[in-house]
This record gives sequence, structure tokens and C-alpha cells, in this order.
Amino acid sequence: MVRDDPDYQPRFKEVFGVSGDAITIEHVKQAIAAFERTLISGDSPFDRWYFGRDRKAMSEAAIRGFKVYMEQGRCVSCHTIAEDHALFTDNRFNNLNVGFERIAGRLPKLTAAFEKSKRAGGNVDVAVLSNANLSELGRYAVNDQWRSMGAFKTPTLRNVARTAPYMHDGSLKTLKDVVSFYSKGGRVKDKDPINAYQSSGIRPLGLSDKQQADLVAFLEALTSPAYAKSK
Amino acid sequence: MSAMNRRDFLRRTGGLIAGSALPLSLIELAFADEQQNFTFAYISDSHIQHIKGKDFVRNWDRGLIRTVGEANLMDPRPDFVMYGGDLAQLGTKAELDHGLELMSALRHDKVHYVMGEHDYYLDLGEYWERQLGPQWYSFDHKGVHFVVLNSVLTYDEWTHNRWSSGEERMAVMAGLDNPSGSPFMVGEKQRDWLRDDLSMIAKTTPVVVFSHSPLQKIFKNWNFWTEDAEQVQVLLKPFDKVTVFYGHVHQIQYNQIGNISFHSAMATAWAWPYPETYAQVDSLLPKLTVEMNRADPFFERDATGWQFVDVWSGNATLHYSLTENQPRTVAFNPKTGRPEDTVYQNDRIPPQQHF
Ligand code: HEC
Ligand SMILES: [Fe+2]
Ligand SMILES: [Fe+2]
Repeated sequence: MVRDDPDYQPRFKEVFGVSGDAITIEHVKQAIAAFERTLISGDSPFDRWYFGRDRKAMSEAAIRGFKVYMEQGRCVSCHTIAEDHALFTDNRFNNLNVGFERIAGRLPKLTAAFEKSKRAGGNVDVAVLSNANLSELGRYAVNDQWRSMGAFKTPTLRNVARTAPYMHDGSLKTLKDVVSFYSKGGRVKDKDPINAYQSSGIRPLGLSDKQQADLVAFLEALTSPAYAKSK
Repeated sequence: MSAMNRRDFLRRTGGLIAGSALPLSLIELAFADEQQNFTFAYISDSHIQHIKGKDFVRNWDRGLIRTVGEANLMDPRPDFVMYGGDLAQLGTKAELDHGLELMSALRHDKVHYVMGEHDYYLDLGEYWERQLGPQWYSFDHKGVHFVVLNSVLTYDEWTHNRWSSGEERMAVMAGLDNPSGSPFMVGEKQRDWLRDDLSMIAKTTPVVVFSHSPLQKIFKNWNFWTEDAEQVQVLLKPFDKVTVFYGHVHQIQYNQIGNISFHSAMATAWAWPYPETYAQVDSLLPKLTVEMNRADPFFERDATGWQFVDVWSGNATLHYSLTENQPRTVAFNPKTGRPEDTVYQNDRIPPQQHF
């Protein structure tokens, strides 16, 4: 995929001096690792408060939001924070029930057709990327395992206040929408259906309006000034 | 694609390593008579639990809903579906009805049910029987003889004389290690029926038996046990190829005793850890290849799942689909004459040392 991408080609040539088939998975890994390093080191209000022990670095609301993040909100189990650094991702794949409803009813037909084209040697990347319905298959499209149905990688939350809209399909416009979605157990509206393959780490949280607002304040404290400036 | 561009998709699905390997593709085995190979889905131990009114325990509901959703994606479709028992938690009408309603979302219409102790001990299987038919029966499919037993019976004295109500009796049996429980058994009446049933079958016919408790003795304290297991095994001994499937243990087990291969089902509800093994006779020890680590309580489906079974030339290959874990496959190895994990048999994962 990367090998064929006209946008990546010149950049790989620039950095690694390779192009076309000479681009290997090692190059790709190095590029991603370099990108991630820029995200790991943070000087956000959260970093200064949590790792730097500057008690004034975060607002009261954000501090309360941190508690929701760690406890009732269950966010930290996927968007991880370690003792000495915070990636805000466990690198696992989860189906949160975002956008899946579109294909849920036709899923058996869709997967059967998908597997058939894959067996016939079709280019999966292209099939997935050119078909909005197939892209909802998520990680399943890559590994063919039912456990990965509709699952997407947990993204980091660094600078998340600056990266709206949210989720793989951009269907949630604000952080307030995201937090409300989690509180309802992966629903936009109370009565929305939950697909059979939703991650077992997601369940209704029953967060109060205040807890939700605090959680948003915490997410806003993850923006590093350097990132804010560069945009 | 609307909001997600191609790089975004790759980032979010880890799609860079997309290969052409299909882990789920059925193992290709060359047999004289391909017609006789077939696949069935095998779901077990959902423990649907009523709270009150229309409320049921969400976690157990989700396990069965997920499994049905996955089984519906099987392509080609399985010939039929087996349900291994413990559909309900306390055997009530509400629980059985709700469980059957969730099962009715299956696209496959033929389902055979096995009785679990959680289905049985409230009313001794009366409501279950009204919905699903006899508690033990047999049928034939593509040259294989299938037998379904109710292996969770026990002594009449315990069943009939000790309890002031069915609820009380059910509550005692529902506790995994309740010392007031009683060992499971098939019982004489059913063994007589089995002897008769098998007398009509050629010894070369592959026989597949379903019970809820293991028809081998593993751990008495948890009723991973059938008191008259040996007597049932004797009836199965004359046949060339026998496979016994059981639920109840909520973990992967497999074993070979003489001509009989044993396989357990994963539960859709929750995982039990491996019990301290009750060493009665060496050859009876089930083969525990990968020690079950403690399930992660955050991911409620950790260490749960279901399985589908390829039957080939009278032998079985179990494909375990595990919601939060790597899929596993346990297949009969004709060279060693026993079931083996196709990946971990020799390459064992050390058990978890700390918690
Ligand atoms: C079960 C793991 C899991 C839990 C628990 C979880 N998340 Fe997420 N989060 C994800 C995944 C996976 C995505 C991407 C989903 C998608 O695109 O379909 C995501 C996406 C997000 C996004 C959007 C990021 C973007 O760039 O689009 C935000 C914001 C977020 N999560 C915040 C939270 C908060 C706040 C909580 C706690 C209330 C939380 N998450 C709990 C796994 C999790
Ligand atoms: Fe059970
Ligand atoms: Fe049981």
C-alpha cells in the first residue's frame, strides 16, 4: 500500500533514499516510531501536573476529570498512563460501536463477498479503502479474525482537543459528544442499537453532566504548547 | 471514504501488514470421501441470568449475543448448531425464554440442545423439555452417529428428599464448589438406553457423544466429573472412533482415553481457572497445554468464546473463536492418535507467575 501511495513515495525517498519495492516494513516502522516519539514527550498541562508535580498546572475541573478518567470512566484501561510516561494508547483494537450500524444488517453477505475476493487474490487494501462499507470491517479486514470485527486501534489522546472531528469516521464533532457517547455505553442516543461485536471493555458508565464536563476539561489539558503553536 | 483517508485507515487498523493468509480457512485434509466431511457450530454455557422484570445480567447477555453474531458469519454455513448446556443460570422460565430468544438470532435453523445443571435443578428439566424435547436422544448425520446425554443427574435421595423447594435445590447445585452438592451422573436408566441405542450401530460408524459434564473424571470438588464415567466409557469402547464433547468446565481441555477423544467447549459467559487436578489414574489426566491465566476483569469477554468443529473421517478439529484472545485450534493427530493443539502442543506458553 505504502509502496503505491503517490503521497508517501517522495517522502520515503527523501528520508530513506529508497523508493518503490525497496521500501520495506523496516522503513515504515522507523517512520512510525519517529512520528510517535514526537508524541510521547509532552509538556502539556497534564505532563507538568502529573510527571512534573506542578500542582497549579491543571485546573480544578481537569483534576476532577482526571479522577473520572482513572476510575468511573474506565478510560485509562485503553488510553494508558504509565508511571513515568503516558502514551494514552494500549495499541489494541476495539469496536466501540461507531458507524457499524451501517453494515450490521448485511454483515454476513458483506464478509462472505470480502473473503471471496480476498481468496481470489484481490487487493484488500484497495477494496477496503474504496468502499466505505468495507472499511467499517476495521481490523477484521486485515486479520480475518471475528474478534477484530469493526475494531479500530485505540488512538493516543495527546493534543486531542485540536484534532476534531473524532473516531475513525469523524462522526463525533466535539469532545463533549465523545464523552457522552462513552457514558451511554457506545451510543449517540440512549436507544441506539449496540452491535454484537462491541468491545467487552465498553459498557454504560452513567456519568453525571458535571463528571462529563470535568472529563472534557481533562482531555483539553493534554494539548502541548509546542503542538498548539505548530498548527 | 468520507472522513477517513487512506493513511488514516492504515493507522487505525494497523493495516500495513495486510497479508493474504486466512487464519480461519479450514484445514484442508484429503479424504477418500469428501462428502462425509462437515462442520457444526458449538456454543455453550451462557448462564443467562434474570435480575427482575425485563432485566438480565448484561455481561452474560453480551457473551451470547456476540457468539451468535460470530456464528452467523460462518461461510460456508455449518450443517447444524450444538448448544452444550447451562443456557440459564437458575433454570427459570424467564431465563430459558430469554436465552432461546437470543439463540433465535442464529441464521442456522437446526440447533440441538444439551441439558446443563443450571437448566435442570429448578424443575428437573420440565420447562426445558417442553421447549426443546427429550433430555437424551440420538441422531445421524452424514454417516456419523450423534448421541446427546443428560449427564448432570444425581442420586435420587439428594434430588428428592433434601430440599424444601426447587429453588433451594437449584441454588445449591449452582455453586461450583458447594460442599452440599452431589456428583453428576448419567445413571442406570440412561445407560440402558445408550446400550440399546448403540446396539443398532456398526462398530465402524464414528460416534460423537455430547454431555454437559465431562464423561471423564477431572476434579470432583467442582463437579468437573461424572460419577459413572467409566461405565459410559465401557459402552463406547467397542467403536473404532469416538469423540466426546462437553461443556460445564468453561475452559479448553482435551484428552484421549483409549479410543475416545475428549474435547471441552469454551463458555460464552465467563472462564473458570484450571482446577488443581485430581490425580486418580494417570491416563485420565486431561492434557492441559496452556495454563489458563486469570481473566482480565476489565475486558469482560477475556477467556470466553465458542467453537466450531470440523468432522473429518470421524475425527474432530476444534476451532476456538476467543473474543479477547488469539484463536486456537485443537485437532486429532493421526500420527500420535490423540487431540493436539496445532500451535502450542510443543511450544508451550509458561503459566502466569504473579497476579
Ligand atoms: C475499550 C477501550 C477503550 C476505552 C475504555 C476508552 N477508549 Fe477512547 N478510544 C478507543 C478506541 C478503539 C478509539 C477509536 C475508535 C474508532 O475510531 O472507532 C477511541 C477513540 C477515542 C477518542 C477519539 C480520538 C480521535 O482522535 O478520534 C477520544 C477523545 C477518546 N477515545 C476518549 C476516551 C475517553 C474520555 C474514555 C473514557 C470515558 C475512553 N476513550 C475510553 C478505545 C477506548
Ligand atoms: Fe456452566
Ligand atoms: Fe454446568
